[in-house]
Amino acid sequence: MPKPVQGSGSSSRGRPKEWTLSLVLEDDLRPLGNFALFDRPTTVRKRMAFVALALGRMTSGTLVYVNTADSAERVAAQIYDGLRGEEQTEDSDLNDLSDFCEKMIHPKYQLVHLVKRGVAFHYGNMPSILREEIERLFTIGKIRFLVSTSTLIEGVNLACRTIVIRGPKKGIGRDMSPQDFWNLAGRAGRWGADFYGNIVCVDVSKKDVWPDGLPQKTAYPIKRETDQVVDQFESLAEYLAKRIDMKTDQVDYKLEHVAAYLMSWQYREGSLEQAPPIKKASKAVAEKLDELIKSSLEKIDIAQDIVDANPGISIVALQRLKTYFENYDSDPKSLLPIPPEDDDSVNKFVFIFDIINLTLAPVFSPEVRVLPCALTTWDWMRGRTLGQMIAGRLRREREKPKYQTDEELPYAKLIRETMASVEEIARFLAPKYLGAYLSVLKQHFGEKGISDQFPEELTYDLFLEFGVSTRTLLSLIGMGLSRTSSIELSDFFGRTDLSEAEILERLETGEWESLNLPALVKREIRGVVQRKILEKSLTSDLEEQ
Amino acid sequence: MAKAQPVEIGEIKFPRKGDALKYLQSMLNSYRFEERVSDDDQTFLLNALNHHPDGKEKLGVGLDYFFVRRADYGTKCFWIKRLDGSVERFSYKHCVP
Repeated sequence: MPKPVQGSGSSSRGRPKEWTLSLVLEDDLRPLGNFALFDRPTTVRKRMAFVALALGRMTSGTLVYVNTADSAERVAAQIYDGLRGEEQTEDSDLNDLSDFCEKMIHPKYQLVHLVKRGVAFHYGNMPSILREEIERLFTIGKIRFLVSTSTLIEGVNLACRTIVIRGPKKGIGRDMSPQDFWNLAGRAGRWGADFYGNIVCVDVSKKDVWPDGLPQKTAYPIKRETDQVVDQFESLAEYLAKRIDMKTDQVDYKLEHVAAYLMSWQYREGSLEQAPPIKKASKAVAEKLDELIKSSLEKIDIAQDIVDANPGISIVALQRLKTYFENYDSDPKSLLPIPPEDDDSVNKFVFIFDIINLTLAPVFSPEVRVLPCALTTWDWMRGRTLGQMIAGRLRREREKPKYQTDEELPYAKLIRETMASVEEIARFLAPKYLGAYLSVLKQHFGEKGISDQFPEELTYDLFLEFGVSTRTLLSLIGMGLSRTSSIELSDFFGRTDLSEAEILERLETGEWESLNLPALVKREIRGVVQRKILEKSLTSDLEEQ
Repeated sequence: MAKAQPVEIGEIKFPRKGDALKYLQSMLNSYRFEERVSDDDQTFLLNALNHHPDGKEKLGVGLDYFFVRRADYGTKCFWIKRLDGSVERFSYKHCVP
């Protein structure tokens, strides 16, 4: 069983470049020795970078944990600078990754040069093909320094030799819980044959950095959020009583989550009696909540399957959307989205997002953001690549009078923001809320007796989820290719309605190998083709038997 | 310099023209896109529309209700829903004499 060793680094008084590494025991720090930083760590970020360099220069597998994507990029740049002259120009994996970033993201994306010295950063909103390749190269030791944000707690499984960490937060402003700290720390020492891993906590004696000292390794009770809120019965009851008349921007997110859960439970089951968080409450509380919800549910006639398919959206909100449709007295067909190839498509998304903000939740807010959100969604759905979207964003920014020259553009920030809006808007909020919008609209068309006017082929939720709008692209993604590779490859197919079998027929010939595609994309296609051929032969073997 | 002229719209007296404009602007901003105007505000807006040079044409066959929707370049605007179902937008800035 690998066991992390917790060390702590801190500087000596008056000699900022000289640091002591101590081993953390029960309540004690035992000094292990000194190490020198190659320069004065004048900022917190430099401190992280220089400690990582001092301790990880001779090995691979050094993970630096920082709190924001911006810090990740800056600390990585400082580590890169400290490795001047150590370019790995011969390594084809690193060169391919650099080439991919240059062609598919932007020539000014920092990874283009960072990876050449075996340094990378990692955060949640990167496209998956890029993130997975960084993880792979870090695991085999070609990327030696990885600077990461809290995405590593949220599902990414990565082993390493040394973790450098300082006053960890989860996202912006929230202190990391001891459970999350140990989840992260547990990654140290799973590196191949290495038995022990090091966790280096920087500035451990500073109270403002580590307010509760180092997190202790004890069992922490986990409490469900719904239970916590049911405990605050008074505020929940008050909230439920007001909920039906609330505007979307008055919604309290913490209470809304529980209220929505309880309301849809009662709508489905007829009573709250068996709802898990209620079973633990007193009978009086259960009855009171039951009664409060009952009156809100009286006027609701949303189809059960729509409520079930949208667990994060309150039944009251769905009903408000339906009421909007019922009161809408222009042609109901004008409530439908327009396919992305049509010029009016963006304006229609703006209109629909306005309705979503008004009825479901103010997710595309403030109001000035509705248009940018609609543009991102539109670009995404019509299959623009991330690279094209970044180039578009940079072009629009460049037109603003505050930037006089190209150099003044904050490239790193704009590239990161474009990635974030793709992940958060196009891949998360838009499919979720547009999906709910369309299913309520479909019910409304049914009740008006005009179901035949609701287009059957309207698979917007699918288009949005995958960011494509043709059958060919959906097939490519269905075969297991990333969106990035799918879009690059589909450019070479004339038809937009190819099935998986038809695509595989074309790929099996190997002609695609000579296409002008980044090496990383080719590797992915090769893997998919091999797997599909194997699957096909296994299936036909089975059929013969 | 000329003394500021008070403005009267419906039952409300504004000391200056600018105050009336400010009142209408904050009314507009209190609504979200696609939201209907409340009954109280509707009464005031109808009075205001009397001062609009094209108010009569804008109202046409008569008002069903007011609502807020986007106009050119995504700007916020009051709209009229007429009794025959047609819609028309108007600028609140032209409603102050």
